[in-house]
Amino acid sequence: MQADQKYFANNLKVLRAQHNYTQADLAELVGVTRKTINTIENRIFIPSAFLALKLAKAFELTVEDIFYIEKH
Amino acid sequence: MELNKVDKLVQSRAKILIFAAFAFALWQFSWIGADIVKDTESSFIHIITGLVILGSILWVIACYFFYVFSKKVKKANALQALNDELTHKNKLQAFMAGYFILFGMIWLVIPATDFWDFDLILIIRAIAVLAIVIPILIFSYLEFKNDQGAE
Repeated sequence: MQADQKYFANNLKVLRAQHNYTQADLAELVGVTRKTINTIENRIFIPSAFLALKLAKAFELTVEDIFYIEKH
Repeated sequence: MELNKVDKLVQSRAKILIFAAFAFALWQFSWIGADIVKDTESSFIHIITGLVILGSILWVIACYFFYVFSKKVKKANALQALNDELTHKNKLQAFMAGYFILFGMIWLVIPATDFWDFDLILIIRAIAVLAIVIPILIFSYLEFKNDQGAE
C-alpha cells in the first residue's frame, strides 16, 4: 500500500445506513463480495474506477460524493 | 451475522483450496519420500506407500469437491462476484509471494550443491510442489483475512 493511500476515505457506511443496505445488499447490487465492500469501507482496499462508478450508480450519486481524500 | 450465499461460497472455496493443497502436498511429498527410501531397506516404505495412496485418494476427493463447488457457483450465478477485484488482488499477492519463495529456494539450492551431494531431481520435485501449495495457502489466508467489522 502506498503511504498516502490511507487518506483515501469514503462515506459508504453512512450512505448504506441512509439507504438501509447491508454490506451484502450493496455487494449484490454492484456484483462483488460482501468482504470487498467491507475492505473498501475500512480503507484496506481501494476500488478501481470501474467499481467506484458502480458504487456511485448504486447510490445515484457521483464518485466524489462517496470517495474523497482526507485532509492531512 | 448470517452469511449470504456468496459469502458462503467464498469461504467454501478457501476451505476446499486448503484441503486440496494439503492433499496434493501429502501425495507428492510422500511420493518423493518413497523414491528416497525405495533403494534402501527402510521399514518405513510401507508407511510411506500408505501415505502416497492416502494422498492420492484425498486429491481425488478434492477434485470432486471442486466439481461440486463449480456447480454451486453456476447455480448461484456468483462467478463474477467470486472473481471480483479483491479476489484478483489476493491472487496476485499469492502468486507474487509464491514466486519470491520459489526464487529464494532455487537460489539456496544452487550454492548448496557445492557443499552437499543430493539428488537434484528430488529437490526440484519438492520445490515444484511447494510452488503450487504455497500460493494456494497464501490465497486462502488472504480470503479469510480482513473481515473485521463486517456488517
